[in-house]
Amino acid sequence: MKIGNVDVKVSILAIAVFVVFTILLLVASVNSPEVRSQLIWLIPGLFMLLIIPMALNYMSRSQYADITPVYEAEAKTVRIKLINENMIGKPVRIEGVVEKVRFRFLNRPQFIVADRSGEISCKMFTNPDEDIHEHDVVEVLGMVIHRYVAVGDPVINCVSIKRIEKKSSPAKER
Amino acid sequence: MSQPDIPAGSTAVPAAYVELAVPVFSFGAAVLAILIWTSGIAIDLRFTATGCVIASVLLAYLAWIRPKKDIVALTTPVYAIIFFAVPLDDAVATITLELLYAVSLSILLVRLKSRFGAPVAARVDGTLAGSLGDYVERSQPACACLTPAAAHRAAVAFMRYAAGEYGDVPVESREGILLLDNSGCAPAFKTAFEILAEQAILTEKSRPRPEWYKQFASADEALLARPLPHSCKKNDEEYDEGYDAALDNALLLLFAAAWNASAADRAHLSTAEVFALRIIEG
Repeated sequence: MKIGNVDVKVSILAIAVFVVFTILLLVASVNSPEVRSQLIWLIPGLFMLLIIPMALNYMSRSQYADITPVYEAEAKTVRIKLINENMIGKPVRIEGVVEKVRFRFLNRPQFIVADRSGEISCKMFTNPDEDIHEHDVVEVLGMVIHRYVAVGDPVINCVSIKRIEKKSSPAKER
Repeated sequence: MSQPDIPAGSTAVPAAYVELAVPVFSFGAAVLAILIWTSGIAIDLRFTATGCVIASVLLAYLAWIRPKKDIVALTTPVYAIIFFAVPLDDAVATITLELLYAVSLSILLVRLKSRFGAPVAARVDGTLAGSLGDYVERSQPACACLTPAAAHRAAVAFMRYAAGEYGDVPVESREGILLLDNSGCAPAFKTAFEILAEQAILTEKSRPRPEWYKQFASADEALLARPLPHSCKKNDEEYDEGYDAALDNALLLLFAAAWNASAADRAHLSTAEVFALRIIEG
């Protein structure tokens, strides 16, 4: 569903919760007159299970869309191996191949991206603009953060991930 | 290295002993509970759960000392307290819970070792770990000519690059090159500063890799951590490994120079030890 320029997506988990509670409400309302009398509150409440995740998704995606140009201007292209704890808080750009995608069903995908030097987790707190799959060659923009807020290995808080064409690197020996 | 009389690699408590202690404490607690129960001694069995709590703390410690943290192992002490804080009146239930908990901790220990890499334990002798320590030690004679001021510049340039402050690296490198003048040191140190400055400028300005770039000479190879590529021609995928290899060697040489000739900077350099280790181990 598109709201303005933002393509809002609801996670499968949110839809599953909505479906489960819809079935429960149907069963309960068929069997209980007391539940039927409360449907005026229960039905809007049921739809809130969809509307709230959609609203959160819209807000996060519109914020990501706003800050992506800032990252495009400020992020430095680095090899994955060079990302370390001393770079916490720095905007970076990496290019590599997506090796794994996790937690896509939560709308919080985590991409394991690898280049020739190593691999790193790129955590995203909303779904990306493009559907990214394993083996896609991508450009990632984001900020270096700790995996668990204040501890853990460095990972990238991904602001943007998009497929790119494979680029050549014209380098010769001096 | 500053303290060659202390054997390299000694740590406060070897991780292998701590790993062994996890099943020993957890299963030991369950076995002790079984012995007390079968012998009919009138003691509250719940005190044996202390062994499981200790094993959880040890597992959390093992997770903590790894560069890649396992959140599940880190939180086991919390689960231990939740499970064993609530008293169970039944002896069989207590023993069953302790046995299941010991099995769970053992599975988590195996998972930690297989999926979260080797531990980086705090070293008590001020030495560096693994191949990085070997390289720094090997380059010590070549670093004897460096003044503390030049080595300090090497430390600052290295740390600025590690922190992603690429704009500051060329300034530090230029000062380092000036301090190297007439020092009699191998030209590789000057080349390292030049490579770092050149690549930092390119990164800072988000420029593509240049047609021509600064490289170490083959005469410098004895001082370098990683061998120079056989050829700097692009491969089938249009990739020239010489560019990245030059930067890796420059960073490692400056790290070694700073560690060997500027003792005051070691504490600061230690914060980037994992970074340097990743570079040298490729």
